[in-house]
Amino acid sequence: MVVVVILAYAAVAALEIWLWAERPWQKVLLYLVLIAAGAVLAALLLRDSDLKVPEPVGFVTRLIKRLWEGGGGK
Amino acid sequence: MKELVPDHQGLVLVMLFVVGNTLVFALGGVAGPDIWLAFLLATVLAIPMILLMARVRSLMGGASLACGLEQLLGKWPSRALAFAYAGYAWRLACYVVSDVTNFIQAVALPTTPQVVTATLFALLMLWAAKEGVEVLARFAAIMSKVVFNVLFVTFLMLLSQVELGEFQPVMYNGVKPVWLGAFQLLEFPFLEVVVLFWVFDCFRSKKSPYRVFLPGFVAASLILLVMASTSLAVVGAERYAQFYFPVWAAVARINISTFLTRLEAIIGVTFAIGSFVKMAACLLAASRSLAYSFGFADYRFLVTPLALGVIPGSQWFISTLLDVELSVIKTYPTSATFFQAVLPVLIWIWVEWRARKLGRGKSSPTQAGGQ
Amino acid sequence: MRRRLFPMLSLLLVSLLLTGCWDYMEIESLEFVFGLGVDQVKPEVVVVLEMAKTSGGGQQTMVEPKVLSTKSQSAATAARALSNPAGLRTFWSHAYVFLISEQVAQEGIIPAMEHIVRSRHLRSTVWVFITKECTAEEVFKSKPPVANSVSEHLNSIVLMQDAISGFLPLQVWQLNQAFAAEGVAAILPTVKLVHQRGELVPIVEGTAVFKRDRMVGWLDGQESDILCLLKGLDQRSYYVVDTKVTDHGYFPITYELVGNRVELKPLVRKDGSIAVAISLTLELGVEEIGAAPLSFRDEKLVRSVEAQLATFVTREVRGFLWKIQREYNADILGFGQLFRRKKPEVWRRLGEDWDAQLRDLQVELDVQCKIVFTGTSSEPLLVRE
Repeated sequence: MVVVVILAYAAVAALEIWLWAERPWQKVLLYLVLIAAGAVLAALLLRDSDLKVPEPVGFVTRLIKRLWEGGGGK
Repeated sequence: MKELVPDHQGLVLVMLFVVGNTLVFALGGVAGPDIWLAFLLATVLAIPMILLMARVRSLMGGASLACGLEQLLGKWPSRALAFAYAGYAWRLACYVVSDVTNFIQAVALPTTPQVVTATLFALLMLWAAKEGVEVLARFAAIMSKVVFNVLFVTFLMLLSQVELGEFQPVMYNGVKPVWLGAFQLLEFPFLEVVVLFWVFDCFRSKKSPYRVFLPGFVAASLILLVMASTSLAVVGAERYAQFYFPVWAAVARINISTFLTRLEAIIGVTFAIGSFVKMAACLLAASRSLAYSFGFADYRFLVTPLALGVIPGSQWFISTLLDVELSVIKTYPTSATFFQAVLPVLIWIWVEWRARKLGRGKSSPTQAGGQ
Repeated sequence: MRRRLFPMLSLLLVSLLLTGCWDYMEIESLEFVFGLGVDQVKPEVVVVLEMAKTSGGGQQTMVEPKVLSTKSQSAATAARALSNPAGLRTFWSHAYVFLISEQVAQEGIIPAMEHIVRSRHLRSTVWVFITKECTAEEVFKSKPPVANSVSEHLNSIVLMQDAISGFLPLQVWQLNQAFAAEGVAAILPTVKLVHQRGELVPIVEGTAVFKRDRMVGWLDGQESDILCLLKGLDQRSYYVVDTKVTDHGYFPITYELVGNRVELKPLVRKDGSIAVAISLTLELGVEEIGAAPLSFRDEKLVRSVEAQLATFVTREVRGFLWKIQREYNADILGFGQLFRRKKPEVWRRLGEDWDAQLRDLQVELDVQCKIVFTGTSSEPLLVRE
């Protein structure tokens, strides 16, 4: 299943890039990176449906809170 | 290429965006019988934020979003900002898709895998986002006639089942539930309007942002207020918050002389249309701001990868109906506070300061400003 | 060419996705459930289904009801397990009625009905009944004279409720709401079996009174009519009242209720005690006076009849109130809810201890009756010597 999904993503990407009128490398690169990210996410979810969601903002606030509390404790 | 949306279409887009996927959920359920107070409070609290957004947009004058941002914020800060909001908008698109797929699974197609419905919606919104904001706004203008007429007729038919006593006693448990309910509503759906800031490219005039955002938002919040209160008065204050989909349950009660029954499906249709507009707008916002943050003028080439990412994304953030409900009833998680309240206020203060500096000597910031 | 290819390919892709219907069902493979019943909860749940297989089509459509029952650990498993003997997939959205046996009702109906409320297959507009002095299975196996199945029979009785009176129909969601609401006790209509032409026929009459989810007593047809009256429901019930007609003595006269206005007010007296004021305004029609020499052109006589009717209704309501306040101590009229909504401060103070409050709650009753309709004549039948 993982293979099929990755192939599907690759096929869509190939098809669409082929349809573009011009292909500046910056655009192609960004496009491919995003498609790859989507495919990787799909593949990871297929293997483990309870994949953890990262919380960058939450992480920062927790960090600030910890620093704050640490400072207050001393 | 500038994409210009006429004010009235923009207004309808804002309305559909807010009503969008929210209608069927137990909005403001913690407030119990005081739900209407929670709605009013949330609307009052949200209006300053909406005005603030419109003000920032209005300060850009007639410039397109990209030019305007660069003039006011400078190149790199505005790119970083766009990048952050691209993430937020994409995540919101995932949430909306997930809401729809879970809803469909719960009420109509229990054994169809969610990925299938998610894929269909992803393809649909991919198409809409590629067409651009002008087409989306026109679609919203046409579809809104269907959606709002259906809602109006449903409301009229629900009136026969309404029990006004359900709203009594007022504030039996004090003001706390009202505030909690209001915060639930602010987080979802009221302040999600920030995403729309990134959807519109150009406006007709400097006044247009006000004319689009404010009436659109207020009208939508009133519609939600009326629909939520009516369903509460039909299903009962005690039961309202216990349902996943109280409006659905309320409409199932409609029985016009035993022959006009089972009208739930039409609510499902309005929900699907509203959700589609919302997810397409989110996808559009995500592609536009991401393209801008990497310095591309055209955003359309990014729509496909982002839409394909939404399919696994919708399963990633939210996987079951329980998660959907949690996402609806939570009051202010950190990330939402950050994107919906903290960042807009910071931007506004900065922009206000910059505009004053730039405004000295010239009436409108037409010159390419920035760093 | 390139421009055309992409839309075409994506259309092909979409059509591929559309072919796989996971929730596809052939109508021939379905067996429609018309009614379901629960006859026992402990130690095992006994579920009875009335199912129908439709055959033929158009004018010749035949519906043959079949009754199946099974025992299982829960209502859900039992209902599911019946697909097996039925040999067809059970289809629930057309169910009309849900019967709960008397025995289950006395033990508490939550375990029997929770699945019905939660299940997405059943609509929340299913009618709920308690079977009196019989089981759900017996009811489903009885023979209604006209309707094809017992469920349809019960459904059509319920739809005639305003004309036949004697019960209050209730759907699953209303029951659910009554359980959830504070300060109001639930009620359910009862089904019983009567003999008619040598066969057992189910009829709907009377009301089961609940306290929380346990049944605590019955109300008969007449008392149920009073309940409807006090709940302000539109119901054209008949009352036969021995009416004094001047000096000619007492005659049984049949009145029909045609209009009904009821107002309930919570009162807080100066000394802090609480009471409820009920004002009832009834409009009645005369259906049958028999041999009574009663002319409705005589205004004085009409006033006297109206006063006698008011006395009669007052007596009936008092009896009814005594029964629900003292005998069953179940707040089926929702006096508690009334106080909670209109006088929240009183409810905050007394709500904890409402059962005791209800027992001694004073009710001020004001009944007004008015004759508004006397059929096609205002005069008695003329019989010459």
